[in-house]
Order: sequence, then structure tokens, then C-alpha cells
Amino acid sequence: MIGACLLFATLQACVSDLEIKAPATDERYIIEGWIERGGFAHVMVSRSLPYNTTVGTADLFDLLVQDAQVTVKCENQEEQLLLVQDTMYTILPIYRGYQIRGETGKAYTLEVKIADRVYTATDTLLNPIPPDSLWFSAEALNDSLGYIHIRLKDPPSIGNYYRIFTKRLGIDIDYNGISVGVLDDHLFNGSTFSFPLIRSGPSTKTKDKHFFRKGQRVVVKTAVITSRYFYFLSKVSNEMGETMSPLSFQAPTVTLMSGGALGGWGCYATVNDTLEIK
Amino acid sequence: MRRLVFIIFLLACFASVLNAQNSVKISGVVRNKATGLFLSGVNIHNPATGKGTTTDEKGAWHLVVAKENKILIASHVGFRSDTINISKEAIEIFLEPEVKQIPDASIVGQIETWKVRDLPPGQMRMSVTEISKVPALFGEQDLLNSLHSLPGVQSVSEGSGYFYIRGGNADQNLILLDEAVIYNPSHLLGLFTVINPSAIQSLTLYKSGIPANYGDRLASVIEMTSRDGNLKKFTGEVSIGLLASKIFIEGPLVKDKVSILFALRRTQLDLITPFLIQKSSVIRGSGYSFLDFNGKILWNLSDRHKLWLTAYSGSDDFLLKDKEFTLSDRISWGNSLFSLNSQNKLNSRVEMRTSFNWSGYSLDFTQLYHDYYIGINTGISNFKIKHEFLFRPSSKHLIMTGVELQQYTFKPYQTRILLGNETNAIGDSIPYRAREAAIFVHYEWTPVPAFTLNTGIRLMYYQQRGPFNLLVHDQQGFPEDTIHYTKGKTIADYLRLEPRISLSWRFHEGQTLKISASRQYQPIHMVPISTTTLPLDLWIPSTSLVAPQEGTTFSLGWYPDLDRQGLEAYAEGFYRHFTNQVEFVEDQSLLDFVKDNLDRQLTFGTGEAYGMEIFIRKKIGKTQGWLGYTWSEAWRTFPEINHGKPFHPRSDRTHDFNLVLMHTFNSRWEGSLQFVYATGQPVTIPLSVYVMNGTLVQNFSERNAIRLPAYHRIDIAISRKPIKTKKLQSTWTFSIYNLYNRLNPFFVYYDLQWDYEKNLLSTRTRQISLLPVLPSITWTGRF
Repeated sequence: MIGACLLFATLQACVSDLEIKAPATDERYIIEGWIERGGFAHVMVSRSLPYNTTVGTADLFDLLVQDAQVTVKCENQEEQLLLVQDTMYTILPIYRGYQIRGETGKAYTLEVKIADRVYTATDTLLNPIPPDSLWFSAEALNDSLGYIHIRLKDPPSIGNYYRIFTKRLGIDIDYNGISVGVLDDHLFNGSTFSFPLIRSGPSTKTKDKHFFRKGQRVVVKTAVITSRYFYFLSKVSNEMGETMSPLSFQAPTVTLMSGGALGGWGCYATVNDTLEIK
Repeated sequence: MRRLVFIIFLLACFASVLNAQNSVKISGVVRNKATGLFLSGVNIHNPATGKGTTTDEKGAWHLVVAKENKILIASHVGFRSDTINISKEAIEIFLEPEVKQIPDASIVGQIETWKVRDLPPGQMRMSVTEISKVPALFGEQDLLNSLHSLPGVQSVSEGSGYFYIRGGNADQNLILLDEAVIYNPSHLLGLFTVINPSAIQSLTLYKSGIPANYGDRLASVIEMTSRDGNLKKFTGEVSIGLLASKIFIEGPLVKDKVSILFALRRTQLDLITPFLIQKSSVIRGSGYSFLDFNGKILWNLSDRHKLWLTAYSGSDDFLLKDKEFTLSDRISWGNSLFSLNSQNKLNSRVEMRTSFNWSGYSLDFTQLYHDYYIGINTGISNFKIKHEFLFRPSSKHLIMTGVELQQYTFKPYQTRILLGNETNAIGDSIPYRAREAAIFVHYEWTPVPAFTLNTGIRLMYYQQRGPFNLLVHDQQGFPEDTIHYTKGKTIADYLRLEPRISLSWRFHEGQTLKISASRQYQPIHMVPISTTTLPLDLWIPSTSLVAPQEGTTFSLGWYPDLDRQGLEAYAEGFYRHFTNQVEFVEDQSLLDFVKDNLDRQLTFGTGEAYGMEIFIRKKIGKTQGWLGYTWSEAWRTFPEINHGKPFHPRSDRTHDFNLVLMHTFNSRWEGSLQFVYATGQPVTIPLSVYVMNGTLVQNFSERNAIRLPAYHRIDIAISRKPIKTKKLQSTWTFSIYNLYNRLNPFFVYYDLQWDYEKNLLSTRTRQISLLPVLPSITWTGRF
């Protein structure tokens, strides 16, 4: 037993901060913009942070670029977005449109001008695909907690891309992406496919992490996106996940913005459904 | 290249002039007088000229000597030296084991095993005796990991079981046990290699100048020869360590004719773990185990004919349970092989060797999450027939020719997903199949004792064959149709010619020059998908999109004679160029693999490596050991990776230094020390972070642009040897791994924390060090 204790003591992994010499990086502009079907454009413009740092949420205000000229174009229409505090989406100021709404089949171009540099991207709003059904299943160990399951009936042609969000009414300020992030139909093209929605975002109770709770009303937003935007989001999703994963592929960040900024611009063909968990 | 050919031509002409001297080539075998078994690593030495050689893994040797020098001395650790008066060209030598305790004085001055300058260019050997003296993790002697102490051999990180030799990739090393391939050499996240050292006779490493009878890899050949079972009596060994225990038994089934050998090794980690993880822990139920078996049956049909069957099977099982996520991950992997070999000496000039063998490697990964199950299987197997014919028409010439036929089956990636009651198999459900045929000729010319020229050529024909479903794509890159290839139908084929040449020339008294040049091809590829040593790497064949890898290697070495000082040394430079190197395209996720034919997920590039190795070895005296230093650089260039800019592979180490010291205090006590230093591993890490979609996203550096801190550690061991007259001979080994508790990074991760309550965001780069200071004690009993 002495040997076993010795073994255990020595086999424990030792975790420590890594001291390495990394070159100073150039500050990059980050552009994150989207437009939903029936909604208006929203765009956040910020700067990157150096790694190995700790900042408060208040400091994030300093990262925001508040003097950008942000324009959305669709066919012959053009609208310059206004910097507002829209608590529907974030506590931080965001550029928002009020005239051009997202319509199925139309292409939208985002143009962001900061100082003398212009960054642009274009995306198309596709046809929405509503979910076939939503249901809740309880955990074996705690039947008041569980997952929402979604069943999608994928169209026959390959090349459909989805992104799903959830929002607990009365609890969450904003929609949160599920842990799966984005998915395509290469594995279930043309068939009916179901999977659990693993909740992400903040939890007031530790044991609620990843779960939904009985009694909650949850809006599930199912969005169809373009392959280009899917590619961008999946790469961003990979980079989010490359914190602890030994299976990660670490690669330079991808961007949809021309001109050197990081980020993307996407159109969401959304359908909202509300599930009351009983 | 033309200059090199010209120089070789001049040297050949010069050697022909020297040929006017009267010399004779002597050959033979050396056996253990007590067991009748062949002895490898025996030093055969001509005291008149200082010229010598060592026996190979089959106990064979040959040496060109002047006709007037008729005396040879054969010596080996643990055996009485023998002086032989040469009376014929073929000699069989029997060395008698030292049965008494070796007095201190007899160790001093004894020349141990091989001399590096007498080996062909680029070749190194290690005997089990040498390896057993190097300090080892948990006292568990490790045959393959001991290679890391030699110059030119690098490991990637803490506990890596893979080898990176002279700037090559992990898959570019051919690891053989009695001619059968071992695809994954590591147990326990690379902390141990899969072969039990008790079952091995010798290990030979070819870093360059690889003979033409070996193919299919670009960087090196690591050839292990299994130990023959004792033909005289049953003996055995039991070893109990902190991490693993093993048993080894050998003996005659028919005395002097048939022997059997059996070795079993198992970790007891899985038996201990349940007592160490608290019942309330979320990872309760997790564990790890490994088991391996080596077996061999040898049948000496006659003095000239020998037949043996070697078997190996090993398995690892790693289970991680996480109650918080209701998650259960299991990774099981293992190698198996069987090899039936025969060696037939038709007469003193002609010998035939034949091998039929099968090797397989498979890995299963399963994940159970809530009601959903995903299973991934990957693997490779091959069946090989190899026939070699050796002909020594005179003392100056050796011709080896042969044929090799192989059939491969690859299961690169097969996935099963269970949703409710429905199972879906996705990914490449039909295995890839390939065949390979090679013919080779190797010619060794020793016109005078001071000069040996080795040339060889290998012609390889490779075929990818049906059945197979090849996806056809539309302009957007989506699969739109499938072409079905029926069984045996050729999908892609390649014909490649591999020339090799090397020479060894003692141009001045005690000064040896070695030069080698070769071109090799590799039709199978292991593509890494893991940033750690988890065995999640996929073997894939050459296809219509994936051409065989090509490698060209040059080496030039200077080997001074320092026998009088009790030393041997060399300095050798190398240059390598690789083409058709294979990687997955950037930013892949595991699910991307199953969406298409796997070869469409790959991208191709070139590689380059160059460096200088220095090796100094002290073989005489109470204190022996060696020092190895390598300066090298390795680069890869892929148009679709890192924006087309060259980058270092993870195995690149600018400086790599190893010191091994072994000291004999007296007849019972021995001690050893090993110091390792290597430049930090190049890695890709985030340089900045940004907020997107309410989440932190990392902006990574260029590929492998940042160096981790340097890797270094000291290990020490001390052994109390048994009294050899006792029936049960107990050896106690006390060792300390990583004496000064250097926290070398095993795995680097990036910690992003968003504290919602305090509204604080923090990012930091962290490392996990797997192996801090590790004291251990091992008992080994021999009977």
C-alpha cells in the first residue's frame, strides 16, 4: 500500500503556468455581424486582447470601437447602422439597423470603415427549416434536470447548415448557442435526425450547468446558414474548444472579412419555437 | 550529386590499387557454449591490425584480414574471451560464460560489445545488457525508449513513445520484431514501449545507409531480434515494480533442438486506482491497464537449418468517466504479430532466409454521452512474405538479393453512432486495400580490410485495389456520385526505384570515413490528428491523390580510433529532403473525416532536415558510458498550411544532449546516471484573444512558431546484484527519475475563464507536467 500511495502521489499531473517567450502581436479589429430573417442588422466592432491577461467586464468597453462607420447594403438599399445599447443582445454598445430587414433569398453586404481602412463581407439569407419536434428528457440521477432534444427533417439535397440557440425565458438575457455549435447535413442528409441540446452560457446554480430544468420555458431558435458562414463558425467553434482538448487542430484564425480584420458576417434564416418543460 | 559520385569513383579506384595486397575474408558465427544460442554483439578483434567487427543479431560476423595475421580474439561481457588461430575461412566460435563472480579487476579493461566505427554507416546497436544499466522510469527497463539517449534520435515530449530520427516523422521509422512490423510502439501514453525487453536479444538502429533489404520507410529502421530460448535448461525471471510486473520463462522442449520462450507483462495500475479515487469524485470508475505477451518457439533442425515462430500481442485500455457530464470515454489499442522465420545455410557460401509474418494494429474509441453513443475504429494490418538469398562468392564479395510481397488492409476511420435504438455506420465503411511487391539486390565489396563499399537497389511496385467506393464531387466540392471498384480492381499504382550506396574507408591509421547516400519511398502514411501522445493517429495508404512519400538522405561521418584512450567517437553530418509529405488540412474537426473519402482531407508538402551528431563512448574501466550531442534543424513546407510559410515539425530540436554514465562500485553494486537536455518543442499557441458571440476566441500564432522551455532532467539508479551461486538470484534496483523535479511540459493548454459573478475575464497558458521526481524500487528474481 505504501507503494501504491507513492505511485498515486507521483502520477498526479502537475499543472503550472507556462513561461514562454512569445512575440508581441499586432492589435486586430474584430467584426461580428449578423442579420436574422425579419430582423435588423447587428454588428459589434472591437479590438483583440493580448494573451495571458485578466480584465474586468468594464475594461471590455475600452476594447469596443465606437467610432466606426458601419453600413449594410441590400440590392439598391443602403443603411448606416447606429451605435446603441440594445440589451436584447448584449450589455455592450452595438451597431444596429432600423430600416433594412432580413428577407429570404436576398444577399446582404456589410461594410465597416475604421479610420482609412474598409472591411467588407457578403452573405445570403436562405430558406428556414423548422424543427420537426422538440422534447425534454430527464437525467437519471436528477429527474428535475435534463436535456431538450430536437428532431430535424433535413431536405433531400445535401448542403444544409444549421445553427441552434436557446434562451430560458425570464433567466437569460440573450440567446446562447448550444455546445454543438453548428452542424451540417453530411452525416444525415435527407433523413430525420435528432440530438440533445447541451446548454451553454452562464448558470446561477452549479448543478444546472449544461442542463435545462423542469418548469422552465425555453425558446429554441433554429437557424439555417450558408456554407461559407458555417465554415467560419465551425472554425471559430474549434478555436473556442481548443482550450483543453488534446485532439485540437491549432491553426491561424479564419476570417470572412476582407481587408485584414478578423470576424464574420452572416445571415440567419431563423424559426423560433417555445417549449414549456413540465 | 555528380561530385559525390566522382569522389566515390576515385575512392573505388584507390581501393582497387590497394587490392594488390594479400588479404582473406574470414566469416563465422559465435555461440554461447552453455546454451548453444547465437551471441550478438560479440567483439571480434585482430590484435595485429586493430581492425575488428561485431557479430550481428544472428551471431554472424565476417572480417577481412591480411593473410599473415592469423590470430583473432573474441570477447563479450559475461563470457571468457577466446583467442582463435585462423585455419579456415568459416569459423564457429563457442564462448564460455563466466560462472564466477566477476572480480573488479576483470571489468576494468574489458571491451564491451560493438565498436561503432566497425559498423556500416548510419548504424548503431544496443545490447540488452547495455540497456539494463540505463536508469529507467519506475525501474522498468525500456528497450526502445533507451534509443532516445543516442544522437540523432529525438522524442517529442515527456513520455513520448514515438521516435523522430534525423528530422523524420514518426511514421518514417520501420520498427521490426523478427521481420514483423510494430505500428504503434507505445504503452501508457508513451511512457513505455510495447516490447518486453526480457524477450529481446539485440536492437539495431539504421539512421542512414539502410540496406536494400529494408524498405517502406524514409527515416530509419529499428530492428529487434527476439531472444532464443535456452536449449539446455529451464530458466526464468520474475520482476515486480511499482507500475508493472512481469514473468519470463525459457527452456528446452527437446534438449539442444527445440526451445520455448514466454514473457508476460502487466501493469497493476488498474488494480490500485479504485482505492485511490474518492467515491465522491466525478471521475470515479476511471482507470488504465496494459498487458503484453511475447512468445517464441525455436527449432534447430540442424547446425545449418533453423526455424522459429515469434508471437507478440499487447493491449492498452484507458477509461475516463465523468459523472458531471454523464460521460464515459474509452480508448483501447494494441498491436499483434506473428512471424515464422527460417534460416538455411546451404553451404559455407550460400544462405537463405525466409519470413512469413502478419502484423496488426487497431484502436477503438467509444464515447457514451447521455443516450447517445459514438464509436470510432481505426487500424491497419499487413501480411508479408520475404525471402532473402545471401551469396559469398569469395572473401571480398557479398551479394544479398530477395523479394518481398505485402498485402495491406487499412481501416482509417469507421464510425458508429447509436441514437436511441438506431445504429448508423458512417465514414469509410469499406477498408482500403493495397499490395506491394519489391525486389532488391545488395552488394558488399571489401577489396582490402580498410575499405568496404555497400551498394543496393530496390524496385517497389505498389497498388491500391478494390473493393472501394470512390466519391465523385460536384464543382462546389459536394459528393454527388460514387464509383464502385470491384474486388482486385486497380485504383492507383506506383513503381519506384530506390538506389542506395555507402562506403567505409580507413584512410589513415585509426581514421575512418563513412559516406552514404540513398533514396527511399514510403507508400503508407500515418497522419497525426493528436497534439499529445494519445494514439489517435490514422494510417492511410497511397491512393490516386496521395503519392508515396519520397526521401533522399546523405551522411558523412568521421570515426577516429581512440582505442588506446579506451574511447570511441564519431562526428557525422546528415542532410535529408522529403517530398509528398502528408498532413490533414488546417482546422479540421474529427467529424470532418467521415464526410468524404479520407484522402480528400489531406494536403501535401515537402520537408528538409540537416544536422551534425557527435558521439563519445567510454567502454573501459569502472566508469563507462557515452555522451551524444545533436545539432539539427527540420522544416516542413505545405502550400495549404501556415499560409505556405515553412515551419518546424513538432519533433524539431536545435540542441539535443544526452549523457549516460555507469559505474561499478564492486562486485555487488552498480550505479548509473543519465542527463538529458533538449531545446524546447515548437508549438502553436494563442498570441491574442477576442470576444465573439459572447465567447472568448483565441487567435493562434503561426504553425509551431513558439518554443516551449527547454526539456532537461537527471535520472539515477543503483542496483544490488545477486550472488550468482544462489538458485534464486535477486536483483534490487532503486532509481529516481527526474532527480531535481524539473517540470517538463507533457501537454500545453489554454485556460480561458469568464467569471460571471466577478465580471472578470482571464486567459493564461498552462502546462501539465506528467512526470515529476519519481523514486521507485524494483525486485527482479532470476532462477
